[in-house]
Amino acid sequence: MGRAIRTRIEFRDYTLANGLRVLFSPHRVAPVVAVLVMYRVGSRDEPPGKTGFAHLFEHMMFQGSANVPRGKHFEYVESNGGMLNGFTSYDCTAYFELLPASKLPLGLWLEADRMRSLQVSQENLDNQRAVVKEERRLSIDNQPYARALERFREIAYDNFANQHSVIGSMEDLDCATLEDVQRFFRTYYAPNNAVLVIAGDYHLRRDLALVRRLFEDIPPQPAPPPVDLSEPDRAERREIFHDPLASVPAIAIAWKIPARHTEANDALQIAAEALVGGRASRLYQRLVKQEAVAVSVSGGAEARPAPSLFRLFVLHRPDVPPERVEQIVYEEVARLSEEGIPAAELERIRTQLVAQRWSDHLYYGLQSPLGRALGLAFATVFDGDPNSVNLELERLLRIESHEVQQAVRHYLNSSRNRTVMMIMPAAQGGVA
Amino acid sequence: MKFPTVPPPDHPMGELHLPLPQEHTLPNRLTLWLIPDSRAPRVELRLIIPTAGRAFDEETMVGLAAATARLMTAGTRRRTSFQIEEEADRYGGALSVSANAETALLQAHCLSQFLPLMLDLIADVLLNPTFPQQEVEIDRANTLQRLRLQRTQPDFLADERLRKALFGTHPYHRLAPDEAALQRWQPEHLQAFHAQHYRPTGATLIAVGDFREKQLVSLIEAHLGGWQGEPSNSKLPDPPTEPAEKGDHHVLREGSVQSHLMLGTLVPPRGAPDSLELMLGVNLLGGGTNSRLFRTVREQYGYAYSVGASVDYYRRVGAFVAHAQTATENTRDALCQIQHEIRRLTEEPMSPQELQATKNYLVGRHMLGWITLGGIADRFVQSVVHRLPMDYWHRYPEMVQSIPAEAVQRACASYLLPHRMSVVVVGERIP
Repeated sequence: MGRAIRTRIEFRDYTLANGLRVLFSPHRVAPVVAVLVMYRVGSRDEPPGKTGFAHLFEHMMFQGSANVPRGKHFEYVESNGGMLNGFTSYDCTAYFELLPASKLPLGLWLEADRMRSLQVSQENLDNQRAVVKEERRLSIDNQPYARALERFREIAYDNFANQHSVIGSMEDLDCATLEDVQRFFRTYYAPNNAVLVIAGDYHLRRDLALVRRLFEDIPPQPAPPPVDLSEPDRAERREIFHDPLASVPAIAIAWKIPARHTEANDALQIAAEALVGGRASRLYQRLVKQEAVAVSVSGGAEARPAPSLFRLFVLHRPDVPPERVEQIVYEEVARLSEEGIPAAELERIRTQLVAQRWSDHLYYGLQSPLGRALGLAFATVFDGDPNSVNLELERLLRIESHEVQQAVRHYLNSSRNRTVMMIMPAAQGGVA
Repeated sequence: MKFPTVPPPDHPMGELHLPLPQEHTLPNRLTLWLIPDSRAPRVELRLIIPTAGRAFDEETMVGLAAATARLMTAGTRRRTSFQIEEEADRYGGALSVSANAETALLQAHCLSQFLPLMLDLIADVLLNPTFPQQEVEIDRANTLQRLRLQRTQPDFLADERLRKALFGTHPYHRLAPDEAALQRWQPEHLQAFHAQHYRPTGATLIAVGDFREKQLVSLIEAHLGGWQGEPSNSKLPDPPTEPAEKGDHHVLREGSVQSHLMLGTLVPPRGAPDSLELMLGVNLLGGGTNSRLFRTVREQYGYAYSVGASVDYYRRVGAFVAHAQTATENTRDALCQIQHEIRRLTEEPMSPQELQATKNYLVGRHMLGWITLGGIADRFVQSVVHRLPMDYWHRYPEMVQSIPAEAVQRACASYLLPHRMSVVVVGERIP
């Protein structure tokens, strides 16, 4: 690359007396501020019989607290010109508001009120249970490939904590009780299990004082029980899935790989860019263009704070046997492991990594205060260090071809820990 | 200190600075809207081709406009499709062309240091596409598979059916390619469509980002100055003002566990009288989490996860659309509730508080759209596509805030009446 491009996310780092980590990150291109609270809890913390609970609980966080009656959270934010949302993943749960800078006190007050005094009734629980069931139907049960990919994760992993989906099963959702909600809140939604990030246009001294006033007297709780996320080494696993809603065949392949920010996971991030990062990537060019066997190729290397998956998903032409697609994928993996990445290709990947940091996305990257807040929050919750968001990119930009080769040889160019699912369509999807 | 029972007072706040584009017209009649902005080391580019969208396909070649747009990046006289992708990646960017209802849109971005190289690539794609036979065949086969896939997706099926119900035979109804046409077109058809429609006269190039205005104008002149001509006179028939097929339409999708509901009707286009008034009413009904549909259909009854209403704008008409996805057994109840809320909007006065909340919601979203370079660029794409005054978005907050409740209700009562609605349900048979 020519001239150096700034990619650093600046921040100030505080810990309140109750253990709440508070980060401020300046970004003053518009009078806008992001408030984000991330809790260290996700679907991995759910025991058998309680799948989907972390996500159902996320919905409960919008159902009222001591000073914010039900429905008022939405009203406060949107009628003041802001936007809000929340999400639950395998390893964390986050809540955020993007607000006009003048409304920062409102955002902080809303987050503090629900952290200190969530109030949930049976009626609200039942209502949100119904909403989440519709969410499951919308995103999984009524969509082609979605049930297959949910099943795929269950067989790709061996440890229950990693296997089950975030949305959970209908049966388990039915079993959730008000007592579960209260216990979950006490255990996981404590200030010492959370990070608060304020990014954008704020005034540090004034707003740090306000944060202390609103959050510092929320009592801490004992640390939540640790979860065993380890994965055993195993032989290849294969399955055929008949999807009644799909009309085009597909193949999903994954390998279990080490957790984020290990040497191997870092190197495999680069391997993922080479193999499936966009339309110049090796698998796209080979499968879609040269051999003309695939309709689309997607995938990537997860960077969970736990054993992760290197995932590939190929929609292929019905007249091509899935074994042929599979064989080509393995040929490209073998080529990467034997020949590595030529300098020009590696340079291109590095340029893309830097450019992606300046993405236009509201949830990702340096242009949006919310993107900055999320980057810092993931780094803090997953790595214990907000600066790891900056260090991560520095490390990725230093990775050399031989490191990629070594990681690919060890983790991908092998049937060990591999899972393959052929998805056979049953629907016609007739062209009208 | 005691925890406050109401939100602490607001902070004072600085003004949002909204840039106005600098307009230039090149000798070949290409218009430039340039906004230098150094907030990110990046440049966003949007080129709007006014008559290269789906509606300009001939009846016998529906899908050709979209294929032409898609395949502009499939090879040029100087570059293969791989070289195009590889170069865009090297510039920390991306480049694609797509066809919308009326316009085609070339979208690109890159790290600012690579802007001259990116412009060379864009010019090549724009002026010299060759539509290689082999690429056309790959695209044909994969488009057919994608079409089969789309026909299994409830949202696509609903959208496709609703457009037909609203627009009848008017070209605005087109969403997917016609399969017979897809089998037929050859590189020369794509060449001809390109030659006819991709012309500088009437086209607008928007650039937002880290560049110097004078330098960029010379660069664009150097790369696109040789682009010549005007599009052959393409006129669209007048769009309908009333839906072609009102009433209920069911699309059977076997194995569905949910019904995908869409209700729609035709409304005035962006910038027309009544359009902002109606937009306010539609957002009060179904914009965001504080809207009536969200509060009742989701939060009160638990019928749906996703529910809302919005207006899709075409150049000469708008389409009001309300949607929800609900368990098959709740289909009738959810539909009734949505219809009830629409009727209430047309019949009952709204409270000043509720209207003010909606105004603030719209103005707030508007403001959040100015955070990123791409957000700014896309705002001005809207201005170009809908021929809005250049300062439309600057005046938008004031225009929204000054609309009285009676005007909102009058607009809703004129356009959102039950007998003007087309209702589409995609799913299993309803018990």
